[in-house]
Amino acid sequence: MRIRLGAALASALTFGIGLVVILGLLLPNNTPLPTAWVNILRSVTSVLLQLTTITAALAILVGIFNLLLVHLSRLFKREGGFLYSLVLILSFGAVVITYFFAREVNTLLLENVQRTIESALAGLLFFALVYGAYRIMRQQVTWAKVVFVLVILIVLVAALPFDIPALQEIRTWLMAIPVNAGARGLLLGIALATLVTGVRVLIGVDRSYRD
Amino acid sequence: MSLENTQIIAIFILVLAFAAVVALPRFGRKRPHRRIMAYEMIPAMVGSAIEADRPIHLSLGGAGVGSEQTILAISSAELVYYVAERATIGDTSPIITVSNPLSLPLAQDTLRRAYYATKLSKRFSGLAARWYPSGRRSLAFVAGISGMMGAERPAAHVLVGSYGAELALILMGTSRRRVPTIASSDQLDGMAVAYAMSDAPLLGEEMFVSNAYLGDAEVHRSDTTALDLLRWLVILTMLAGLVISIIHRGG
Repeated sequence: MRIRLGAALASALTFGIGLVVILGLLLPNNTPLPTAWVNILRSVTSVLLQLTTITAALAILVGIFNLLLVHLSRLFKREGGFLYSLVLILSFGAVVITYFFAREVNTLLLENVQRTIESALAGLLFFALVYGAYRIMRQQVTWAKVVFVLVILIVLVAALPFDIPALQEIRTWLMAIPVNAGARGLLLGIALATLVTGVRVLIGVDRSYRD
Repeated sequence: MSLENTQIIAIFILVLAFAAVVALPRFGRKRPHRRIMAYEMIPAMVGSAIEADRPIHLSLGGAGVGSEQTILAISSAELVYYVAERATIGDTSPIITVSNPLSLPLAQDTLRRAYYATKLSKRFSGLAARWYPSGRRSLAFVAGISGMMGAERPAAHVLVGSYGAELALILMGTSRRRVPTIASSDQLDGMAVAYAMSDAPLLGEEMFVSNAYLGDAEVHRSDTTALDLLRWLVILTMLAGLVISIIHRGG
């Protein structure tokens, strides 16, 4: 089997740093290891975690450049939707300029434009969800889908301000037992899969180190 | 020496997972044992996109490197890689979108690797991986995706990673345009929306096993076995706990 030097180095770095961070976070206070070693390990872990935060801040700048380049390219090539790109670039420029020279206008823009539009979209979300419930019954009808829609209907109707104790009891039972159990099952599955993938990444089996 | 209970459990599970992932490639099953419709749909979706000369849209949603979602982001990028690798032979580049800026380099590298794997590196453009800011409730991201859907008319969507209920707005758009969509999320509300509105949802741990279903390396086929082993261990532990509590009550 041919092993590439870059891939081996990347795997070794990941494994080493991963191990140091795991040990730094998991070691208890009353460990039998010498205190100096533990302190060094914790300091290294802390520096590595701080590096992550700095990288995160830089990544936002990279993201902004990417966003501007994508829209400038669309604008210059006159691709479909280039007018939206023009609006985005003008808005970006306006927000940057007002941030430095007229901070109150900037806040006004944020409060009155961005939040209003986001609230309007949030309102649309309700119709999208209703459409989703309708669409599920238009596809192939299975028992699972029928149960899914029935539970949605019961939960929604029981949430209405009508005094129907039987329906409310069913809703409470549904939320406490089957819904709760299902949710925990799904989350446990995700947690276990995260663990297996994490180990795979740590030992360098992951593909990203091989290409 | 007295370790806290949670630390003991964490170390025990970690050691067990290491053992399972390292040892099982020798004994694991040759093939994944359960059919997952979403993975079966991918070749046809990519084929249709190439024939129609339209891009395929792949998204990591809000999954980001550097947080507790790092593994989710890496896993989703792996799935995106397998789809992108198949799609790179077409004339139109796949589009990868992210709402977490930390995932942008990951998305760009995933696309670069896909082109590199098919020996078409010259066609790679970093601008095919895009960042759409998420805003307060990921609605700005949804608006950005909707704009992209209208302008570039993707032939298929693969939405993996992290989404909330806002996923419904994207899926309503794809449904209106009759574009096949695979969707999944690590959040429960996103998962419910994906189940109800996508053509093929990936639920729970299903989105973490793309290696086993789409990859060609034999070593990845044991991932599902390792996962099953850990799942059975959790089930048995729960049952044991139940039996012990029943016995204690009886006593």
